[in-house]
Amino acid sequence: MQHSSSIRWLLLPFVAALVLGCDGQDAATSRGHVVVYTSVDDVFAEPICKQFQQQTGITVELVPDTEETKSTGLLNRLIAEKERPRADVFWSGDPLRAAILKSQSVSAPYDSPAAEGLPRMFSDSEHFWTSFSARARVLIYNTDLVTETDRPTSIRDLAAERFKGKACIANPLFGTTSMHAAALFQVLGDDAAKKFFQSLADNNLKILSSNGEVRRRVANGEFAIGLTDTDDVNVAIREGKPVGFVYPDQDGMGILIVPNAAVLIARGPNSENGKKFIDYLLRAETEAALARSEAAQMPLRSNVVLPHGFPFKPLAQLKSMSVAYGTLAATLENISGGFLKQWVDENQ
Amino acid sequence: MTRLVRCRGLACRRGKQLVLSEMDFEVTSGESVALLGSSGSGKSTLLRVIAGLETAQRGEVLIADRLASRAGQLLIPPHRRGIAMLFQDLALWPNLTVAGNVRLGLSGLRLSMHQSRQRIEQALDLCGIGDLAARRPGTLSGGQQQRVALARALAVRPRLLLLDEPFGGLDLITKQAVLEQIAQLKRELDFALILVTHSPAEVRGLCETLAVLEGGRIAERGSVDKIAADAQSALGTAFVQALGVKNNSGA
Amino acid sequence: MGRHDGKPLLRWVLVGTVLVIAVGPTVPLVVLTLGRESTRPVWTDAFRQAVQNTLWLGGGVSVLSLAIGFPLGLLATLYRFPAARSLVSFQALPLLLPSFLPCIGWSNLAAAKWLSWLPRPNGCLGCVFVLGLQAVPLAFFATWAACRNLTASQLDAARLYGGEKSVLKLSARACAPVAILAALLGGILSLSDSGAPLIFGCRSVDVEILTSFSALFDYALAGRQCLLLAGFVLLLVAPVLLAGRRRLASAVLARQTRPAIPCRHHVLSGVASAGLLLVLIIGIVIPTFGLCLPVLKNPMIARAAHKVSGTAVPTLVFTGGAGVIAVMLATIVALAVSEHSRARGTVLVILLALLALPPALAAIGVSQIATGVPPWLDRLTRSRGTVSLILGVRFLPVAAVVMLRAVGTLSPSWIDAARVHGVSAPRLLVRVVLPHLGPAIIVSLLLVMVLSAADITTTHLLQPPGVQSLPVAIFTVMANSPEGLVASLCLLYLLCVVLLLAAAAQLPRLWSRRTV
Repeated sequence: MQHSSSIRWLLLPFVAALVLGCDGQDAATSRGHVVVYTSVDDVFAEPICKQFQQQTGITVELVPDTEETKSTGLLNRLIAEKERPRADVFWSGDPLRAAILKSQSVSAPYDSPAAEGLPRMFSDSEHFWTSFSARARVLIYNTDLVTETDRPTSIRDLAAERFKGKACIANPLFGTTSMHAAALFQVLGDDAAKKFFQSLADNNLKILSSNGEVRRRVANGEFAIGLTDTDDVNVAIREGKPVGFVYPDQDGMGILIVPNAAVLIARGPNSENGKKFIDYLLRAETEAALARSEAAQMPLRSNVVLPHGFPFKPLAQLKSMSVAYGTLAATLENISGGFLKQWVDENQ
Repeated sequence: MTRLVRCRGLACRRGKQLVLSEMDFEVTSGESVALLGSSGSGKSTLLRVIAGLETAQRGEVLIADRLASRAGQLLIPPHRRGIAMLFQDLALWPNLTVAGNVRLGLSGLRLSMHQSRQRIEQALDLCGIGDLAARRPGTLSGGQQQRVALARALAVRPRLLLLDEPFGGLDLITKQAVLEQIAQLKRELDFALILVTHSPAEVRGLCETLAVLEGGRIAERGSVDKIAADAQSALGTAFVQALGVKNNSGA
Repeated sequence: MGRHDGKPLLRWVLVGTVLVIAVGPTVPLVVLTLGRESTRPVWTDAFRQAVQNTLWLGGGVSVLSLAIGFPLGLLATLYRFPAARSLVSFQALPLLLPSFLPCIGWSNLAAAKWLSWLPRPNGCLGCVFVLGLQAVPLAFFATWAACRNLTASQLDAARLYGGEKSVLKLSARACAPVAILAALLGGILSLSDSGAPLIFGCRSVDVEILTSFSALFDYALAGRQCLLLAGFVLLLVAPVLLAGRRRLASAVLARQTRPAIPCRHHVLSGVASAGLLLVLIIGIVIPTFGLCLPVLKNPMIARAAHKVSGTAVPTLVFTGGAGVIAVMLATIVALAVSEHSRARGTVLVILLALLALPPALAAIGVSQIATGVPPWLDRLTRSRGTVSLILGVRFLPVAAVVMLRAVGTLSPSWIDAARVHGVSAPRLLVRVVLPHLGPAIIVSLLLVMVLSAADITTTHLLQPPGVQSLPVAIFTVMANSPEGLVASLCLLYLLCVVLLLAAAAQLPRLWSRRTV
């Protein structure tokens, strides 16, 4: 009897799991909720959402994303759900995903009053997304392997002889690296960009699965240099890894600025709360908070005071690439299935 | 003597092989028949058809003069035929206790809880295993398992008990004890019995009548003495000799 | 059930219903695929290379799984050695980890300069190595279970007439079909895993499909690639299964016998022990050590524990629900086809082909179905139960293999006795059949639970807002969290799984000792 009871009790959680599983109603459809999908790293997004929740009393149901190469990703979920969305807001880590959502008719325009002071050049002219707080694409290098005099200064150094077989980037079909690839095609032109990628291949550049992996493997000395985002660099620095970084091409085409983008989802179940959340995201205080966070994101507003010890230069002191953010998505679509895919296939 | 089971013109195939062929067979109330035959001759098939576990492609089975099966149709389900069966592997349900096995065996009778309990106790006592009620079959000896199967069969108070070589693997002494018990219970409860066996000892212990199955039919049938006097089949002759019964010629 | 079963139509209706449930979630994307033109061709040089790599990968995983799991399974069953129970139980550990984790573990090890002498898995061979080690438990446990069905007298007879060599030969012949099936299963499971190929730089079909979904957003292309993959799997696996159908299907049907007792052998006992230990060390200990190296420098156990506590219930709901659903459906199928070898073989082939499909296909399909149905159906299409349902359906083939084997141990005479005594089918199912299948139900439940936990894609795409499973939580923080936090989370995940495994290892003993 005793053992039978034990087994019944052991099995009870599984039965309960099934019953609990069918909880039916999406909680976000009731008042006081907002559902936010985000491709920003969970560790950075969660504190902002908690603060919003505390200040407004609106519960935030956050759905974070994995690295794009680890799973099919939230963007596909948003597109699949577009006829009857579950999300109210998409907080994107870059404007490219926001542009894709616009092209797929997933998003709705929203001209937020909180956007005042944010440079318009980074946002959609039709208000389908609004940009704020940015990362930058930088070159990370291992300080044990690369001396001060030898450190790279341009992304063209990824093709330099001294870094042959010792340079790496994340897969340019995914994430911010794909955005960077599209930006290069826009800025350099098709022919020059293709030549550049070819030179990378000739220099035995290694394609890794993600920016995080670039960071890890440069930090551990497997590679001398890599191309990644500033938040990745900041994580490595905070962990005391032997890495340094460079803002590439400050004398040339400039660095790619990758701002966050706030997107209102069309037909979302809690549109009004969604707008309130976007308003919250676009405030100067949020930019300041993101600057203070481990992401060390650079405010787009020049009047936001950077925290003491902020590891990166303010935006105003950096030369940025002249990119038409609104058309990057179209550029990427052209090259993804064509040149870029072929390049990755041949060099992976 | 009322006719309990009557099989008429039974024909049964296993794949391409004709196992029973225009078979006629009868058992009267209280009779005990040993069914003999070589391996694959259809003995078990005949039992299964009588029990209603299979239907013959042709022919009829009547139980107490009621049509029970006909040409592939099952008209009276197994549990309503007043039949119980001891299987070759005993078919005890391993996760139920002895009492649980007997209790589940009463499912077809729709008894009240009180009646079920009484029947279970009676059946277990009859078979001398009242103290094993809470044990599981896997923890019992071969002889004890036999008795459990018997108790389960007798709890339903069958008119006919079918035994399909259930005594394999038992030592001589245990087998003898079980046979004596079945014989005694048969006298007390007056049920008919069909025993499929190869063992002269089992026949000696339980049956007055022999029926020899050959070529899908009953080749001969009669009392042991009758067959000894005038055996029509080689198996019948050999069996009678094995029983130690002298034939007319004194052999 | 039973030889005289007058309801074949019911059997096929049941099997058909289960197969429809299994295939259903993939239908929307398949329809989309077939109805819409992709601007991009499917059969490119890159895709052809990816198919080649994938088939080699799947084959390599199957071969490695068989090469290691099969002999170890035999030795572990036949011979006695110290700590046998623990060593055997822990062989399940590699199955419990998503493939990314050992990959990252190996990467971290390469980073540690004092461990730079350790070879680092790379390319397609590296994928075969990591995924193959993860698939070893499948072949191992299948062999172990099949070998336990050999009787003591069979082994004694073999020993008497031919020595230990005969024993091994007899056991190998008896267990080979099931071991091959399990190894095939492992190979097929690896086909829909894009983690290791991406990290080690091996271009596989699943990487191509992920690219089509996540980089190109070309569902039509992704769908065609998925169908091609499933087609290739069917083409390769079906002949093997159909040719060996009788042997496989009957080997899957275990017979109820008294198991042999392991004996001590002065050489082979040691080989078994050493082999099992080696697999654990290479497959689990080393990559786990690598995974957890950052914990030594920066332990963040408290923060990780907080995260785990928030994700424990959803993880249990998703995986437990998936296990229950998979086992229920698998039991229905197993009971329906247990006595028909052709049906068994056919069902196995279909289910294994489905297993080869990437999880995104079904998950996105369900998302699309959910948008098209009325809101009152959200309970079915947009709840935690949905995640459980899709995960359960995805791993139904795994549960089906286990349950088919378990149903084979049901004695037909139990059914006959039930019919003679008028025990109704539902009553027999509840009182006799399901309790007898108890251990197998628990094993398949646990197997599906751990495999479901490792399916990040399905969970991530379907989990309701505000709810997160622990493995998905690990993957969402992996990118830019401190390495110590990620490592602490992985460590806690592993600990939970080990505890679950330890508890599960006690269940068969509890089950056999139970009294009414």
